[in-house]
Amino acid sequence: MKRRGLRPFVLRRLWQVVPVLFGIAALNFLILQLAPGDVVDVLAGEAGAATPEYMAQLRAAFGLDRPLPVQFLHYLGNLATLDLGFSFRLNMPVLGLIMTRLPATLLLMTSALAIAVVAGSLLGVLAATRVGSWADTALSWFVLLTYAVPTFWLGLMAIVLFSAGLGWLPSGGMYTVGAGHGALAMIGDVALHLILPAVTLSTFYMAVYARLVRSSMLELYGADFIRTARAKGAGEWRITLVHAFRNALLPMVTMLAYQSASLLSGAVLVETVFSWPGLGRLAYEAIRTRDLNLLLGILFFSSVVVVLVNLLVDLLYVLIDPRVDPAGRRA
Amino acid sequence: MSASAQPGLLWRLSVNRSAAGGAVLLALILALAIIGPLLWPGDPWEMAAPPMLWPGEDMANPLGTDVMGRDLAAGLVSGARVSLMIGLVSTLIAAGIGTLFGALGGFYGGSVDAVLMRVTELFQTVPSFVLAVVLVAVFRPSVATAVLAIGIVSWPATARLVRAQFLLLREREFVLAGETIGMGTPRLILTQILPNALPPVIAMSTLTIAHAIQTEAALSFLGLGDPNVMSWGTIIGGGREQLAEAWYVCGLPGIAVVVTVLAFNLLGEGLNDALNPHLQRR
Repeated sequence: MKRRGLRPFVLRRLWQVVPVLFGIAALNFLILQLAPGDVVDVLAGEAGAATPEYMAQLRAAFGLDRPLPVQFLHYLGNLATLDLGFSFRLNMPVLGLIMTRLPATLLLMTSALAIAVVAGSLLGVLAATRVGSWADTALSWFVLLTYAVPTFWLGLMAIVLFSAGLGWLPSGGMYTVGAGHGALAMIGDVALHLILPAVTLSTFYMAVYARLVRSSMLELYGADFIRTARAKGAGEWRITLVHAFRNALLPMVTMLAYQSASLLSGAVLVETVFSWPGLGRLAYEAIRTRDLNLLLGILFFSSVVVVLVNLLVDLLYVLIDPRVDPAGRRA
Repeated sequence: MSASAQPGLLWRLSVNRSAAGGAVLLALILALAIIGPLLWPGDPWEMAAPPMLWPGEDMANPLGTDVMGRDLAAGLVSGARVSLMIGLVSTLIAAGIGTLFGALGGFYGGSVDAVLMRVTELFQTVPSFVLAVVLVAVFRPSVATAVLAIGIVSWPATARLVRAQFLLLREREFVLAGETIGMGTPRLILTQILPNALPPVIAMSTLTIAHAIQTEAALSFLGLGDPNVMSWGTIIGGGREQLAEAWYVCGLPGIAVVVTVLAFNLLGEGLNDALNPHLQRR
């Protein structure tokens, strides 16, 4: 085992994060510079949401009379101290706003991911063990359709069917307003509100994972170690679950890293549809009120979240696959 | 992919079921976008009939009307034109940026490649839809900003593909031969490597169009569409308030998006299979 190499790997991987964060900051700064009006107009929100005195103070603080590199350094300094500025529309620091909304988004994302992984694996294994059957064909149609359906529209149609039509599930929000609850009832209430948005967000990834698991299972069925297991008399179930599926999980973990960014993008739309009080809903409110600084803050913060998730997935990969050599360089 | 493979390409495409299906769907949508304005000549923004008329209730407005009494058929036709146009132009932008980055990185390698790939990675790290939202919001919603924003967030996949192609092709004999007879770098890239690197880029661009159309719909659904242009996302966004009473207002344009995206996905997959006969379907 290569556990010995774990610490240098973590350190090197952490060090690699620095240029990415720098790049994200530079991108944000570039957008600020290119925006119509000067930086402070953007930062303070439009249409005089801030007082003129504050604008003048902000201009001086930001050093708009100084050369661009100095301004950029100043901006970097702000970001490094997690100072994302102030939202005049909502009258709160941007970081505080984001932090109050982050848990809801993380809950939605992890639930959606869990549903996608579990259901996607089931579908993929099912299709792989019955290649060419009606179940396999049905899965390929499901994948095809799911790739084409816009998530937000799927959510709207789910509301039409399950909330307005059948009345089974709440159409939006995270809690039932005004109901007094015990802790247990409250968890149940949130879970009930979570079902539709989480399933909606998960559908696309479910299709991706189902396809991925199906193809890697099929590849693995031809592998030598599967043949050996079969020769030793292992049952089909044991071969499928213990030998093939376990190995099919690895590409899924890789995919996870690729998709954290897209999952966050999807959350913005799903939260808007279901009034889920997370980052995405906050972004929608920021669009509505043209609160550009808040929007930029959300962009920066969500990028940082993606970087951190990728870091975690890399670590996870080293931990679950002993063949990955953390000390090795890129092949 | 040599020139002699060209006659076979159309044949391979026509026997490929997904490519053929995609082409047929796409032809239908194109026909709708082109002759639709003749069938439903009204301004999609104008009140044409009583509001919330259900589809089929009055054949003058076959697909019904929305909450403002605007004809949905006219709206869908307008949406088809907007979606196809924005999808196509933003993909051209994405393909342009992606090809430039990928070609330079793949051809020169070394530090040029390292820098360009860092930038590509950066754009893959930032949640692309959030970036598109920020770009459109900062530069005011319009068709031009939507096209630019979608183009700017959609190029990294193309860049990686072109880079991989260039890495393979630059070592091939015909490129070395070109270099030996004294071709300059621009000529080598443009006339020798690029034409051979393009087929998979075209297949991928078809998929990029599909994604761009979805992104456009999502942007205008959030209210970030051009305020003067009726697109599918605009209709869906406008119909949200009456979702329970008149779901078809959201439903129909959504189906239009699904069909269009499906058409491009099928076509792209078919192109991929036809252009890479070695790669059997996974």
